[in-house]
Amino acid sequence: MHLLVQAVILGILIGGVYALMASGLTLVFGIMRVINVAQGAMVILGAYLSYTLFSSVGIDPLLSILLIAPVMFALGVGIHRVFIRALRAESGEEMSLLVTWATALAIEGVLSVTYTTNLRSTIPGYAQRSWIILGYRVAEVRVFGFVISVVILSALSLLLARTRFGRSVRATVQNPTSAKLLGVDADRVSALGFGIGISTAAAAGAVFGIIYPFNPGSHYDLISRLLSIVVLGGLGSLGGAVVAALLLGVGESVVAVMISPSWSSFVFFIVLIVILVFRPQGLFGVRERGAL
Amino acid sequence: MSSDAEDRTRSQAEVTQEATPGSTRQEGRPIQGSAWKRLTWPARRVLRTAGDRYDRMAKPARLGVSAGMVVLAAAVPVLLPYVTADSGYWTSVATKIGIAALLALGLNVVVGFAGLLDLGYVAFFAVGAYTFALLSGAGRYAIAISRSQPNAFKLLPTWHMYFWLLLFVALLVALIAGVVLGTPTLRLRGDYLAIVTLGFGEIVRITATNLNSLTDGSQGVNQIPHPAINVGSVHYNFGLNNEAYYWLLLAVIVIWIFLLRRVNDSRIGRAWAAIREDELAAASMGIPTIQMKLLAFAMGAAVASLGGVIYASQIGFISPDSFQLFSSDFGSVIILAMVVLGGMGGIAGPIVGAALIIFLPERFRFVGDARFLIFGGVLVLVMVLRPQGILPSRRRAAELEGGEVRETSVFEARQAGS
Repeated sequence: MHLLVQAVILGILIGGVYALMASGLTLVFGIMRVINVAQGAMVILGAYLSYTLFSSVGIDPLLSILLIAPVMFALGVGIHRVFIRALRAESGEEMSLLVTWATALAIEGVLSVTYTTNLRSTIPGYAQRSWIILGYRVAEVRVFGFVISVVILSALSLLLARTRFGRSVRATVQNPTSAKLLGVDADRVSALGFGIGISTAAAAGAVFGIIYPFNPGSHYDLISRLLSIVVLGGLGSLGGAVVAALLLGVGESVVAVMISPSWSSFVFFIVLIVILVFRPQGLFGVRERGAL
Repeated sequence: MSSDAEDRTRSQAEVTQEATPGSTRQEGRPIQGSAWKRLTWPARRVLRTAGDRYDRMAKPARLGVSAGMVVLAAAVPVLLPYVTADSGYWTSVATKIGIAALLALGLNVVVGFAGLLDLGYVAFFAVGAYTFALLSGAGRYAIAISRSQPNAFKLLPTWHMYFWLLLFVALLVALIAGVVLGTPTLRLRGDYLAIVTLGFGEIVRITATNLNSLTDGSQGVNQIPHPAINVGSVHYNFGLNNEAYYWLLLAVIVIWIFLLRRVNDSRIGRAWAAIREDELAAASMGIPTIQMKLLAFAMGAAVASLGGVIYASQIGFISPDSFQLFSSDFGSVIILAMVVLGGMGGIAGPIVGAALIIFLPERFRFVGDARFLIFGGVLVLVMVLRPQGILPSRRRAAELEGGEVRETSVFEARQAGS
């Protein structure tokens, strides 16, 4: 029982970080129907940036998010300008998938040339410390990561709920054509949305880099999990992504503790498929009218 | 701003096209569009007229051209020594292209014909490879070796002569797997389907990694037997002869292309095209959409499994790592890239895509780690500049170029209104 509770606590903490990574993915999909396979690579890029800032200048990895996020936002807007926008006119989802995959390959290439493929990890002073609460051991880093994820996610949902930009994003997600008719600048919304999606990934990357060791190829493991989270929650639904991330985080960590770590990612996909069989639109997705 | 202007010119083109329905071929239309389009117009025209000419040939002539191409392809291993000093290496690359082309042609049925975005295609490749590896007895042998059992050699695979039988068993297993996996998921929307099939790919890989007692986990299975022919007085073991595998693959590909053409020109092919263009309309016309999609899915799975068997028996060793989703050899995404880059929905497109995507990274191996960087860059460039692929099928190209017209159709308006 003690083990189980411990596993659930760990799962919730890591689920929060997954939620942060997945939020950008679901936002980008909702706005422009692009499955951004490069999201995992962006997380790893963020991890490397914060690793570099920490090991060369000594900036705390969690504080470095404040520096990394704007840089990655600019990168995201740039990628959108050059690649994604060129696609939107005539091609389907497979094309956007391949383009973002090629972007991921390119990022992986840059990282392996600059940092080699050795495993790295960011180890600030508090990396090894942990608190003991009611007999359960909780690593400080994971709590910090969870708190930061919650803060950023709340800021994101406030941005979506309260600002003019957020309204135009939600309008575009609901119905792109009507949004355009009502004067929403689709290009601007997509570019900013893509930038935000990428910068949340990078912020999550800074956290990820403290918790797990990483190398340029780590994004392959991440992206299939992130995609499952986003689909489970319902593509385009931010709240759904958060719930799904917590669910899968807990599921994964319980299986890892109770059965074996090597089966833990299996759970991700089994849960995904079982739920989709009964609820094809995901947990919180909106069923498309007229869809078969 | 510029995209607006582009839209306007394009929709004008559409209007003139609609006004003169006879001239939909568009060969004679004035050159317009971006500088890139103007610049490459001659090349694109050559590709298009070559395809048209082939289509308009009389049947015997068309057969002759196809046969000539097959002979040319079959002669590649013989001709290689005259082209390069390192012909052994390039023959192995040629067999790699063969496997990739087979997979691309199989995935093309799912993605290009039926319009289902399948990201778990490598799972069926793995199913074929593992079915063969385990049924041939190599799996037990590998496990016995890794547990250092003294009489492991007694378990050495002796089933060489059953290669051809096992080939069909693997094909059947993959067909069944395709139907089992497809039945619950093919009802899903396109983007969801992509992710769920991706999940299947991972499930197969994780299962292969974790079922230690059956597959020896991440150690992989080695000593997989090579195919052999024992008919009458003919005894031939494929061994490590890359040419033999190349010709075997070529034969399988030719048979597959023949079947593909027959199926795609039939009622089934038309049903696929209808589903791809508008599933709701297809269903209301009485097309059994789920069965048709399942058929495409299972056909693709069977072909991938054949590729898996040949791959396993050629290399003699497989491990879960060979079947990673993003693997740069035969991962789902790279096969998809071959299909999309080459041009979906045709026969020549995926083959050209496979040849280029395998050949170019091999040719530029000397640039080392920057290879993927360059590869990614080139990929993005090609896709942005030529989204319909190098050799698109005519039907598909028409669909893409007619994008603006479709958006205003009743069905599209219905979708946009959801």
